[in-house]
Amino acid sequence: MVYRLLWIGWIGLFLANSPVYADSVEIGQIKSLAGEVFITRDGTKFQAQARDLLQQADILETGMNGSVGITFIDNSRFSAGPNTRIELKQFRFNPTTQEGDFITDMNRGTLTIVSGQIAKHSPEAMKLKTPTTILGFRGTKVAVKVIE
Amino acid sequence: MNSFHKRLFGLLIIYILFTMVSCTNTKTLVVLLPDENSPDGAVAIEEGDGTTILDEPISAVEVNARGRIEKVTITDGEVEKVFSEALAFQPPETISFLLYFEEGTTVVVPDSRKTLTDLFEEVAKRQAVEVQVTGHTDTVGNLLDNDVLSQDRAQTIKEMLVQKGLRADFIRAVGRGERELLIPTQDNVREPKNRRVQVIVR
Repeated sequence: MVYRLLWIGWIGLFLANSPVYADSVEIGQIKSLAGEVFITRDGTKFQAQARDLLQQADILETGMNGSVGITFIDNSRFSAGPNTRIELKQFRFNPTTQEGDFITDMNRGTLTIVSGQIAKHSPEAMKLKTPTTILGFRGTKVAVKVIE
Repeated sequence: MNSFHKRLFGLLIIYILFTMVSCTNTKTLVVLLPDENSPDGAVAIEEGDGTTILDEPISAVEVNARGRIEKVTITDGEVEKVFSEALAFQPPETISFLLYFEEGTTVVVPDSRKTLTDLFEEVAKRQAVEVQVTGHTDTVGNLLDNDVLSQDRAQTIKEMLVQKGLRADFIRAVGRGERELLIPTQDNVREPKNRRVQVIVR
């Protein structure tokens, strides 16, 4: 009996360590940018550069002449024009099951979004919150502007 | 200022803030763009307790501070103008490659050599690139050996990409063994299509 339990323990341990995608903190990458683009991470604000990797909770801001293009690990793509501020509030994605959720807060500016695997797998698991509404994506390409 | 005045002052501040918030002219403009990859794409827009669905390309709405949705007409030209900078920075689409392997080895089959060349070209073409490499096996051999073999296959491709000048920290290589078959088979079945590495270029 004890041996059997030990065996089950071993199998459990093995399953827990079975090769799945390592849970990396990186959720996306800056593909291209121009002008002033800043990332705020853990309260520290720094100038963004192409190839920078992004994490959940990062805040992205573009200046008066700033633009930025980002691809996320679920293959969704964002691009922001000048004077834009977005916060990557929540990002969870399982590359094996394609299941996840992705919530972004947009305070100002212009943003185009091409949704990826998260929205494809479960419609409206990808959301964008603006000061006046919440958008739920069903596999699509959308442009959003916050008019102040 | 006595406590009554303080309270009055506090109320006044709250009143001013409240008026500012409720009178804001902030609006959200939402435009559904044409998307050749998902012709039946749509976006759901929250409005009070309900939602409005936008599913016609180049259809647009504005949502005001009270959450009211109003249809607006917008031309292609206007979209280009309002979103010109954002549209110009849209990253290229993600591309996926499949490479097949000789049985029990990390050797790419001759038929996949062209794909390998295409992969290298695509990676070289992109400005900022990340690559995800996932190795697989068929069901010949035991589960654990296949986990190792699939990891080795992925690692082989990763090393080739590093040799081509791609930074190792932008390549993620993992093995899934015989856990995700492309062609479902019984155990111990030779299946060339299952002996593969998928490479996703972002």
